[in-house]
Order: sequence, then structure tokens, then C-alpha cells
Amino acid sequence: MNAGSKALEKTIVASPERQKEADSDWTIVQAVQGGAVAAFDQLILKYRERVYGVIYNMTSNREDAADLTQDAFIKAFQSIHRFQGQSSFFTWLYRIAVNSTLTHLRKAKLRSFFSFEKISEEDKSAEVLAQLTDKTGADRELFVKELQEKLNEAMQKLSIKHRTVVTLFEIDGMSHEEIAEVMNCSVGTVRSRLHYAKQLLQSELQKYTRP
Amino acid sequence: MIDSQQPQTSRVSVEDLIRLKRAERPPAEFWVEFERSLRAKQLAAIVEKRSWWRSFGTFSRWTMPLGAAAAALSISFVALNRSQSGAPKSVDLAKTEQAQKPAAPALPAVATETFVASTNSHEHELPATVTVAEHHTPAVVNTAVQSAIAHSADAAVATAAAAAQVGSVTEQIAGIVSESHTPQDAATAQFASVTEVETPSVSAIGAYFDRALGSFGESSAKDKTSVVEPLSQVTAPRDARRARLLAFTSTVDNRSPQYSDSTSVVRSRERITSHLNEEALYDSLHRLGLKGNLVSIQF
Repeated sequence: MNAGSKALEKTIVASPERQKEADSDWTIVQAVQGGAVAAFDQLILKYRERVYGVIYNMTSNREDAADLTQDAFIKAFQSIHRFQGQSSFFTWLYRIAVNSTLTHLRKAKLRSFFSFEKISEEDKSAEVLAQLTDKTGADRELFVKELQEKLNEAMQKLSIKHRTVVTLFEIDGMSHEEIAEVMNCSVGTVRSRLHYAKQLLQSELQKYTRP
Repeated sequence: MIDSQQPQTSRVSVEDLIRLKRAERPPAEFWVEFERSLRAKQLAAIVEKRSWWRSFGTFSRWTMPLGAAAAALSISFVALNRSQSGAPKSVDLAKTEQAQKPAAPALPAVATETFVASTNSHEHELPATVTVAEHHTPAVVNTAVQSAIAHSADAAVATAAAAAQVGSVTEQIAGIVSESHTPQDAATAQFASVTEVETPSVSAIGAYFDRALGSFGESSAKDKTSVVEPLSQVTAPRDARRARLLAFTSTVDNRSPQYSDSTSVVRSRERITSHLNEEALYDSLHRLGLKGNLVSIQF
């Protein structure tokens, strides 16, 4: 077990799968640091959709999300020689992405506009939609679009930090500890923000929910 | 819009609604474009020269504290210097006078010229040399004169020519000068020989140097007091007028002495003297006034 693995033992990982994932990432990172620049593509392919998903749900703008995702990977590539394995690579990458997005959102607060991806009706989403409506065809499509707009409106009513917590926990599936590490705050703060955000969303989306 | 036909058995929570957003995924072609633009940005990032200020990020953690400490030290040093320069200083007169003296190396050239001039007609031109020497301390003058004598061969030859009137003494001086290896030696030997052999001409030369050096103190004191401000040299108009009137009265007295004691002359002299009173003169002028075409006189 090398020094990097010892460092990763100290990091907060949600599950054995995450630990395994973190170890494989660290191997790739060491290869990139050793000069195998092409190895970084593996990390891009592995995390691009997740990073894009987080940024997209924070910004609600697909173009901005694409640019910010690319910038996050570029920054990670430029700074990878400084990555010492004190945290898992994906946590480190998420921190870069989230911080870049927060900076972008603060700058573009007054000129933000939305552009959404289409909801793909498969598995879990299809099940939820089936519970919400039995409409078919154009009516169902109209309903899904309206629901999507309402969801994004509710998300945008949250503060940037509350929105980030909700995105990382509910959409990306990160643990409280991991979110705390990414956002550089305590786990209690993460839980508090999450609770407050859900309350607000509940009040905004109550007509779609059944208690 | 809530669907009125929604099944009553649905249990959709906020979490379920939020997780719907997981299904908001870009199409496959989006990732092709993403890959292409990411490659372009990656290449640009590799080629792009790093800004100079980015290098600050690579400094050690001690760089900033050390820089701040150095800046604070330099600022305090400058402030201390300024506060000291702002405070009144104790004036060291000796140092001040020393600083005000002209640079010594500039002297020999001037002194050489004057001395060469003086040797042509030694008695008449001597004061010129003294005038140059007056501006320096005796030690400087002594050294300057000696070095001036010795500095050029012309000076030595001229000195020898001037001393030709005294026969053997002159020959002795010329011989010593020619035997000397350096100009300084020549000058020293020349002065030594002059003081040893007391002939009238030699004593005259010695007297000249004595006068020159002796009068230094007086002339330097005179120089110090003779510094007059330019404004004080300008004579007022009233002084010139007074002088002109007095000159006129004196010429009248000299040219016509027969009238010098007469009562009319005395009266005119008194009148002139009274006119010299400036206040009265200006008072009389103030009484005159011009208003358009009229001349007014106040009594």
C-alpha cells in the first residue's frame, strides 16, 4: 500500500465501492502526474456526466453547464500535480466544479436564464410520472414539461448553497460527509441546509405531492 | 396544474420529484461536441503561457509573511528617515564651511594660469594671483601655489626667467628645478633656495608670497562681508534726485563764490533742502488730481 492509499484511508468515503473507485482514481492520477497525460481522458469519461449533472442542476442552463464542466476538467488537469491524495479524486474534482459554478452564479446572478434538457422517461422517472398522471401522448408531454419548469423554478428559489446541497444529495447521491468535504463545511451545516431546502421545495411543489 | 385524473394511490414525495431531475440528460451527440471543445480548451491550456501573477501561487507558505515583514521594515525605515530629516539639526559650522569650500582639484588649473601671468611682470600682476588665492584656505593656497609652480614646465621656466635678474640665485633656482625629478620637488626646492639666499629680488618674491598669503585673511574676511544682496544695491529714485540737487548747489557755490554768502543763495538752498523732504513732495503730488479735462488742486 503506497502513500496515496494511506492518504485515501483517511478520506471520507460512503461505501466500499467508493473506496475502490477512489483507489483506481488515485492510480490514474499518479500516472498522469508521472507524465501519462492521455490517462486523464479516463477520468474525464468517468466523471463528465456526473459533473455535468451537478452543474446543470445548479445553473439550470445546459450551455453554461457544458462550459463550466469543461473548465472544471481543465482546471483539474492543470492542477493535478498538486493533488496529493488527501481526498478522493472525485471529491477534489467536485470541489473544483462546485466552486467554479458558485463563482459563476454569483457573477451571473442578474442575467441568468434557463435552458433545460429533456426528461428521459425511463425507469424511476417513468414510474414517478406514471403516479402523477395517466395522460398519454401530447397531453402527457405537456404535463411533463410543466412539471419540469415548476421543479426548476422551485430549485431556483433556493439560495445557491441550499441548491448545491440538494443537488449533491438528492440528485447526485452523495453522502452528507462527502458534501461537507466538497463544500468545506460541517456535516451539521449540510443537514441543516438540506432540511431547510426540502421544506421550501415542499411548499413550492405541494400540488404535485401527496402526503 | 394537478392532474384531476391522478390515481389516488400515488405517493409522490418531494424527493421523488427532485430525483426526476436525474432524468434530465443531454443526448449522445451533445457529448461529441463536448469532447471536441474540451480537446480544444485542453490544447489551449497547454500552449497558453502562464500569467506572471500565477507564479505567486507556487510560492511557499512563508513567502507572503516574509514579504509583508520586509515591506513593513522598509516602510518604517523610510518613515524614520523622514522624521529625522524633518527634525531640526545641530549645525556643525566646521563641517558646513568645509562642505562649502570649492573642490581642491579644480584649483591648480586656475592657480597655474594666474601664476604664469604673474611671472611676466611679477610686481604688477601679483595681486591677480592673490585674488585667486583669496577664495581658499591658506593651506589650500599654499599647496595650490606650490603645485601650480611645479605643475608645468612653463611655470618653472617662467619663474627662472623672472629670477634671472638676481644672477646666481636665479641660476641656482634653475639648476634645482632642472635637477628635480618631479614638479613638486622642483617647487619645494625652489622655495627652499629662495628662503636660504636672501637677495633683494628673492626677498621681493618672498615678500610677494608673504603678502599674498598674509592678505588672505583680510581679503577672505572682506569677501565674507562684501556679499551684498542685489536689491540693496539698487538706489531709490529719491536718492538719485537728492544727490543731483546737492550736486547742483555745490556747483553753484564753486562757480560763483560771490553769491555763496548772499541771502538769495541761502534761501534757494533752504528751499531746495526743503524740497528734498520726500513726504512733502509726495504730499504735494497727491494734492494734484485729474478729472476729465479738469485739473484739481487740494489745499
